[in-house]
Amino acid sequence: MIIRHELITKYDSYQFKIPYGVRDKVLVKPGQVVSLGDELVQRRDNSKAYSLFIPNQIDITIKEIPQYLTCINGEFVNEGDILIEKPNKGGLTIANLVAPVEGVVDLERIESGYLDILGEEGEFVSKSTFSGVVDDVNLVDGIVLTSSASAMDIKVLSKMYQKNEPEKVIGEFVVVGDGNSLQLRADDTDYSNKIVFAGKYLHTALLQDLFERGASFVLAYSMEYEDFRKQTLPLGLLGGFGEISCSNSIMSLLVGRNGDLCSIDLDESQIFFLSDRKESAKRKESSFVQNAVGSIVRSLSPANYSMLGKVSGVEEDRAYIAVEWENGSKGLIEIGAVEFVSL
Amino acid sequence: MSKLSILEKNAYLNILVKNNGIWVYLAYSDLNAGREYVLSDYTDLNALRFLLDDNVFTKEFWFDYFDNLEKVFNWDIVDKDKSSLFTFRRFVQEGDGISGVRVQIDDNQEYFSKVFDSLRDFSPDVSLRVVDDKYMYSILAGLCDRMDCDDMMYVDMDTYDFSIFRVTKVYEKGRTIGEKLYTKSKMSWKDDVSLIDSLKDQRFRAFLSAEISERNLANMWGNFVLDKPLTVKDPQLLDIIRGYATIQNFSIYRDNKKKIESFGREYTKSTMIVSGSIPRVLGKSKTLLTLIDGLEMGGNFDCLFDWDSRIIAFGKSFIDATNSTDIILTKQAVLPPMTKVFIPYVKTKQRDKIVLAGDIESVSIPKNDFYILSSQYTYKTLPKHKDKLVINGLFKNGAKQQPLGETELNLISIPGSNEIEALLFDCRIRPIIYGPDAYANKLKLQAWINDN
Repeated sequence: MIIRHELITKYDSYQFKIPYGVRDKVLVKPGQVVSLGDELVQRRDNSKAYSLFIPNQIDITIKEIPQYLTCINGEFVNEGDILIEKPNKGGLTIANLVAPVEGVVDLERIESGYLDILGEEGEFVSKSTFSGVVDDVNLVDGIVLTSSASAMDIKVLSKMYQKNEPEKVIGEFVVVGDGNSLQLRADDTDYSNKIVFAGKYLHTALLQDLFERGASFVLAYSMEYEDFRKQTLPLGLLGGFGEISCSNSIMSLLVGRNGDLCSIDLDESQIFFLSDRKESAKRKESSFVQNAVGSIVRSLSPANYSMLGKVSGVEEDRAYIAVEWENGSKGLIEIGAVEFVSL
Repeated sequence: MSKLSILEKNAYLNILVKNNGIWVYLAYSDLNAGREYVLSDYTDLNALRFLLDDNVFTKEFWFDYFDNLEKVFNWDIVDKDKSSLFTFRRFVQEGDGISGVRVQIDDNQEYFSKVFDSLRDFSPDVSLRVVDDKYMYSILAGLCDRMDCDDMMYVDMDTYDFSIFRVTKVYEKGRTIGEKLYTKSKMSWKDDVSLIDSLKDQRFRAFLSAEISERNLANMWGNFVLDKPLTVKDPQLLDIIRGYATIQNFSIYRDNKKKIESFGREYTKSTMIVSGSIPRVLGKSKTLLTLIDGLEMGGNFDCLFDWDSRIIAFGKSFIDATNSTDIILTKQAVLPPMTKVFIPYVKTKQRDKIVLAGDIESVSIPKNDFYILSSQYTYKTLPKHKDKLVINGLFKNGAKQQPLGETELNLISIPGSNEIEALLFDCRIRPIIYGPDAYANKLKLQAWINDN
């Protein structure tokens, strides 16, 4: 028997927590019903004036950074102040990394190789992109809410990140570009505290750019395995490795979530999009494939890996199925070389 | 527990949860009418892999599961009443009801206790068993006696775990003393990324023959590990899996040499049972190649490919025979046909010479000669036969069987009781050396393998 893989799993009641700090002002109360566009919390935060990926600026490895750091977390630095000092050639020469702007040093991401300089403090209001109920508000858990949600599996998470970070990352889901075309550079947007979807295929240049602009998590459909393994920052892939096929229907599902609040559960390796309650009204179909003909399959064969197609027939011995692939081609494929999916 | 009557009709359901998959078997036996069979089905749980920590195995899941299973087996199994506890239909006749249900869960199964508890909640009629070391010993020791075998090895090759269980009869002064020696060797990977990274091990590369860029190699292997397809046709990916299986076997061998090295060389009656997802992907010939080269095997042995883990499920019923309390099954229903493996001693100077001349004959199949060359790995599938098939042969040019040095080969394949489906002659000159690079391996494998 075959179990259908639900690419989007719907949850009627998903509980999540929005953290806030002592300087923030919570605008909701326990028991309150929150609707789309309602104000949740007024935050006071410093904007990132500049972010530096240190190994790109100076000949130094991530592990060596603490050894040569000359500033401390929270220290105010002026433009030109030395942040890192590394003696070379037995002390005959010294390589320095200086502050490009004035601001407050933030070493929160130093273990991943990033040094941030914070700029002026500002106020902004987080608004709801979902409907839900406030269960509790406290400084330990944050704003605890229950809402309906749609979840997608994150096939693989960067391993180093999993070890050190909290189990959940919450933030606004933002799509870079149109999601389809290959981007090598991010625009000038500040991606601080945002979960960024970088499109079908992620290039390392874009990844670094996004983290320099403060992204809290980067998601993509695919990237090269070798590049993936070099990353020490929060990164997840939805599809797999290499330049693989990504269905337009999956892409439009993701692009349609642009601006939604989402939560990434690192433990369960899933992304939860918080949504309006009306969305979960769809009737749940059986997990088991009753009739292969008409079903949607995803190829697991290297020839067209990850391409979606529709089953048009089943061979007599049930070992092969005829599939019309979304690129227009048709062919027979072994039933064990596909995954039955539902969108 | 009372014994079953040999004259009684019986149908028994066994569910095995192992390596994120559910194997289900429905065994029917009516020995009076000479009718027995085992229906089996597999459900891959990989589609639910990110949900297994949730409450996936609910009562509704099992209801849905059995509802579908009834259609697959065309057999009435459960009484469908969603409001009450599930009840399995009492056995009435072939196609209607079952006399018992057993669920076996492998102790390596992820979220083992969740699956276990959900089944307990689902129905009190279900008897639950854990497939652990103790169980494996009881199966192998029992099979050793039942099959009159001195040395039995069970090799389970799954993507994350490779395990080798072995039971050997203890002899003193040429006689068995009733004791058996049990050993276990295992190698596991804890997660996807560690397993994908194993590709970086230079020894893995030493076995590869696919000429493929590092980048594509890592991507292809990575995607295979993430998705675990049940079948693979791509030759490059198959080569990567073959290389992986060889290095896994080799690593187990290196760490557990004393537990493994004498297999096939010490006793005249040795049997290997091969199971798991990797052999299903690789096929019989390539799987045996990974085992022979990885475990540095020699000698003779019988190999049973237990594709659907039926031996784990019903091995005990076969061992207990008429003393069985669940269902009485014979060898025909439980054991798959065998592949006879011969790794003879071949003189190092005898390259590309005929080392065995033989023939195959049965009442319905005319005499058919075959020849085996030294330096080759020959997997010979025997023709389908309903009558007894006689295989005779003579080793030549100094080649001889191990461990006794016989030069004659006399085999009889009896369909239904002692069926041989293939012969493997690995007459490559020892030691087998791979490398130094993929191109060299490609040429070597082309020269070695003769599957025609």
